[in-house]
Amino acid sequence: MSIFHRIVRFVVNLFLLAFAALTLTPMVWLLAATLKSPDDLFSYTFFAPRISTFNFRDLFSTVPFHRYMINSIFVASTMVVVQLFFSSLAGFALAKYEFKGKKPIMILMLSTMMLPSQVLMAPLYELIYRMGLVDSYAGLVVPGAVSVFGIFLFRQSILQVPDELLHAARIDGCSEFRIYWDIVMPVSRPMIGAFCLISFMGTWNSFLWPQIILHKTERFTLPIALNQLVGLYQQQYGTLMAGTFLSVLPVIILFMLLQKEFIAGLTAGAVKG
Amino acid sequence: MRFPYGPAALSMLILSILSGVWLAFNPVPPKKATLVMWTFAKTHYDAYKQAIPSFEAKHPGVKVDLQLVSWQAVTSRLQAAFLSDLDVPDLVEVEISAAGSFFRGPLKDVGFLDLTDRIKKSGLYDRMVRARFAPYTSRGHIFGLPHDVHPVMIAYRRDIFDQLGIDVSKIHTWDDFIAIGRKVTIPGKRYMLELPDSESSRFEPLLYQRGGGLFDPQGNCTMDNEIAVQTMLFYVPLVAGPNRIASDLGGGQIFTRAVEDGYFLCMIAPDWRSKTIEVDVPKMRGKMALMPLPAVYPGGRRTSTWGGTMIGITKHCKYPDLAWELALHLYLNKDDLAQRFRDTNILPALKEAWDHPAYDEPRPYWSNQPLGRLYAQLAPDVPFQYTSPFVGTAKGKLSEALVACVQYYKQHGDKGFEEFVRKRLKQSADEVRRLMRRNPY
Repeated sequence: MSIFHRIVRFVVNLFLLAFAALTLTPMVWLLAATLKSPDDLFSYTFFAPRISTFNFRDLFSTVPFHRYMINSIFVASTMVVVQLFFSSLAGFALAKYEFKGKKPIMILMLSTMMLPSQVLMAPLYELIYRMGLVDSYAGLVVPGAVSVFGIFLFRQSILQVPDELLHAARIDGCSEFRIYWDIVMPVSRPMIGAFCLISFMGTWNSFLWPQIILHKTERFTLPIALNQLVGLYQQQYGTLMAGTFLSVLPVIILFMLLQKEFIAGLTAGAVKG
Repeated sequence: MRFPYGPAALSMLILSILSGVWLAFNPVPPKKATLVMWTFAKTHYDAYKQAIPSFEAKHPGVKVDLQLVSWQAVTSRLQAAFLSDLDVPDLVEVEISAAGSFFRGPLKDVGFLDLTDRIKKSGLYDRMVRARFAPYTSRGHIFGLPHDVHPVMIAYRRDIFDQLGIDVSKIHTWDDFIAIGRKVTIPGKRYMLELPDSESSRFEPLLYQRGGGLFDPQGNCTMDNEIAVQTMLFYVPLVAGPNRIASDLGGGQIFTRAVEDGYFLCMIAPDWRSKTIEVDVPKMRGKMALMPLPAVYPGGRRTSTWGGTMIGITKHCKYPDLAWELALHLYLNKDDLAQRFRDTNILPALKEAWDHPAYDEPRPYWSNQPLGRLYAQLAPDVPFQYTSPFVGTAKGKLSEALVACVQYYKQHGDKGFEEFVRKRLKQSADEVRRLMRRNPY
């Protein structure tokens, strides 16, 4: 490698390092805030000389935080599994089958992506209410069971699967579902990893709809529970910071575990060959 | 059999099953409630949780389901509930700035029960601070019971005042206050008062102090009347221009540092904010004190009001008498109110409750002043604050007018300022009136 390239690489790395530091500063501030006592919270910009676990103790003693965490894990992971199953099935159908009305269906589905979700909330709420699903997790999972974004993500991914593979399987006597299960899905794994992460993060951070649907505090997911800590006239910032920190941890851990698949999924199809 | 979706999806499935099993073994206890009540304040929720069992004991078979709904969500959820007639609570606490939005339309369409007769028959109209019924009254009908009074005082750095030799007992009027402010303010380093120049949250208490307001009792927009003009002419030079004595840095960490460093010497402090200051600036314990708001003229009103909460009973409620009893149980119990005051510094609207010793307890944070008594002495004099469904709009337009007036004053000073203020306030008020005309109610 020439000196010029080394210098360029060094400068680029330096720039990326500075950018990473800038991006991570709020996270460091958040971590520092969780480890400060109420007396020190606003007196030191970052870490105080004395490390305090008061905020975490206060968080777990004032609200059933572990329950909110499990509620969130249940809703987010269930939503991912359900969305993954239905979206990949629909994506498979749109990618590999020819049938009447395929194009209009695709256009109709795409057009639903143009609608802001808030527009649909009033009629959707009434529907969920009539179905008796208000204040239940089904009221969160059922309306979100199919993701149009997911369908098109899988359609694009499954289009790359050679038709010959499917024909060979049919000749061997595979049912259509088995083709999907045993051939199409294993080939689409990178996209599955990416979809899992995107779907999980979307559900994990979802606030507006759960806030409307969930009424009993015992059923709250983390974003709503944390929002309850925001007072109108006063609030315990430290406790709120501790809750926020713990609520972003699972997403960070998930990204660490899935980043290889996530990157592979995002770059799938970027290079022809 | 292989799992075709790969490790990511498998881990999701395992998480879903494990958390689902945990939730199945730890179900949410079913609630068969006679009354459902919403509150938006965690402090109220905690206090009511303690108070409700004694109410249930007095009424065997009655179950109260108290729900904590975040204050941002109460309004939207309640509006949606009223409009769709779905999932309406029996009782609900509403914040003062949102209350007016529920009194829109013909009286028969208001979602809250008219409490006027109950309030007058029970004597509460005289037993509570009368001014506090105004924000929850529409067209002569009272729809809410006031939770608080929120008198306004000035919180100040007593230690710095002592060093500077300022005697607060000699501050009677805003002229006295401003004269001292001009002496002690060091531009960029120290300001006499914390006041914003870009939003109307502190302007409004000063407007109310002078007997003004955004609306009159009939619901007409009054934010451009002579009182509003005079308030603007008084306020803007405090926050802009060469003789300014006030500044604003926002909230949170920066506010704490500003108070600790003596950047602000004084803050407008209703009772609830005195608690916020205690929580956010704990290191100032023993160095802070409270004084009445300076009067506009000698012998004038020494307080104002900022913020508030009401409890209302919805028309959806099947047991309005029982709901009324619950409201009284939560709002009239002296011991409970005293404990709530200790926790929040919030003075209740019930005048007879102020006899409790809790209101005379010295507060170490506030240089051992009897915080409750100080606020209680001012409470009967809090101004009336009238409501309208357009309160939110009016607040926004008033903030816009304030920003414009501040900009003008920075550029032109006193030259043509009064004329500009009149014109700009009228423009804002006319915008509100135009919106109001769309709705005949």
